[in-house]
Amino acid sequence: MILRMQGVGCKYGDDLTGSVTAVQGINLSVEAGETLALVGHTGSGKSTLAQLMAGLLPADEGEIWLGDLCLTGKKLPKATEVCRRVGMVFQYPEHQLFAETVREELAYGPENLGWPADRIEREVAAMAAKMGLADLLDAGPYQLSGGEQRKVALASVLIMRPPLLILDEPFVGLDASARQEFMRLLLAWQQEFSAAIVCISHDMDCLAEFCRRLVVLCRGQMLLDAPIREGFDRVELLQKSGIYAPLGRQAVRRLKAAGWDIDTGALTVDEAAAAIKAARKAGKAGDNHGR
Amino acid sequence: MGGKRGGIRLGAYYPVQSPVHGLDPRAKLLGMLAFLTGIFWVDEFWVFGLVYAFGFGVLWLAKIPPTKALAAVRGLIFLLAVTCAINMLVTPGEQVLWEWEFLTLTMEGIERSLLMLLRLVALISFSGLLTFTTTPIELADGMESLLLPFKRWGLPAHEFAMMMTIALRFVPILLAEADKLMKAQRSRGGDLASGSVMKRMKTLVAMVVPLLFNALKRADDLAIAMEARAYTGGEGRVSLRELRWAGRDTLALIVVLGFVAFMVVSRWL
Repeated sequence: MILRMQGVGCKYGDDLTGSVTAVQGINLSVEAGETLALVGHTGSGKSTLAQLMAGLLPADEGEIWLGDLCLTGKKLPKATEVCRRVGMVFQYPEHQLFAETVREELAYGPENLGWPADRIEREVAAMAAKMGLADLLDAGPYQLSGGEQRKVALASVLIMRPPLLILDEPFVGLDASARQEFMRLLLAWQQEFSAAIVCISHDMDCLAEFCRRLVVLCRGQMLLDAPIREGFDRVELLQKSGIYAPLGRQAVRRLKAAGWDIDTGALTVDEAAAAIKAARKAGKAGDNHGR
Repeated sequence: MGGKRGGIRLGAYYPVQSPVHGLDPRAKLLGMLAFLTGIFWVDEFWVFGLVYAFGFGVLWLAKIPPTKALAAVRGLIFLLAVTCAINMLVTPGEQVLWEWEFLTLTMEGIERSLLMLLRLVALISFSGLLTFTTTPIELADGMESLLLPFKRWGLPAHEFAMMMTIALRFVPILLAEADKLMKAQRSRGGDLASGSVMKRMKTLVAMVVPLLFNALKRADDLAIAMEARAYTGGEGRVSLRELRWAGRDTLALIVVLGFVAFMVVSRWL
């Protein structure tokens, strides 16, 4: 097991200004190779939960284990110990770039982990090649385009090979093709190292494409934890948290409501197109189903 | 572990409802200026007794726990002790109690240093009264209004206040940004709290460079956004929050000024 959370709660604020419970009673475990979508309305506690998982916020109650490392014990673990087990990519991660060159930016994490110099050099070159940054290694990160900066920031975390990767709104501000590229890179990396990914996003279509498990938060509490295909069937529950199904699922569901005999399991637009095609074919072969 | 967000409060403002909180910031600014100046005139123990009674009385009116006001003293205790000791040991006088090399302990020295201690503690703990009861924005508004008459001599009162307001607004934003950067670099193994000096230095650079970069970018965005909403400086601009001077402000100011007059006069009593 890569991550185990039991009865985890966290509050913000103090007695004077009033404290706010950000998350409460969270029980969650993540296994290697899992891809988990963490969704919820704004202020539902997603980012807090992500930071708790990454050992960046102290929990007020409950237990958090990253493999064999306890984050909630009396003695807090060292940052490098935590980083060997979990990596976090923040919203707009390009805002955290600081080094003079992309090469130095990528080497920063491995240097902190104390890898030997030749290994760092090797890994930086390999990571840059994988991310399509090989020609930019000696460029300054601030000179790059937004999409390239995002890739550098992602690579600077991926290079540390965390068994658990947490992404807080990784697609915000990317254009459609950059988003596709970003997802492709993430999936390739995840499959290579069979890492677990927890992804926070409001973009259900992106999540549908690469997550297999759906966790819904509502006002700091876990409302749902299910395989993604089943999870998006719980329409009323999801609406309570202000969440809508991916476009593909919405399309087939509306056709079904309009009287079509169609499989409503589709999530992505591609799957929906295939389902519509199949329904039409069956409709022509049979009687007047599926128009 | 990183610090928690959400608990960030600007300055020392103590959010309760009280007659002092409700006063016009200009009355509080002027009153505080007079009161603090007055403290420098006081030179008798019994007058200090009254000053403390008055100060704590206002604190009580403002519903601020005295410990809160005295908390500022705690941070400066070492400085106070050293200043007090030096004063005590080098003040010449007639009633010598103890002598060694150039150090002399005299009755006059003890009296002098105790008075100074009382004065410093009063200054430190009561100067908080203004910031405890007035939000930074109110303060900026009050200052702008008080500085307005000096405009004819070229003092940019509005610009000054706007700068102060924006600077204050940026404090929590920058704190949140710094918190986020700290976490981001921490999740790449950079930790300010542990490691060698060199490593910490590098972590500091990893925080400060993007913090400055983002702050400058944000400031630039803000300037453009303000201009896009027709901001061209103070000329012709009105304010939603109009300061209104009421009877109680006059009354409060008269009470404070009366007390300050007594503090000054007490020197000759």
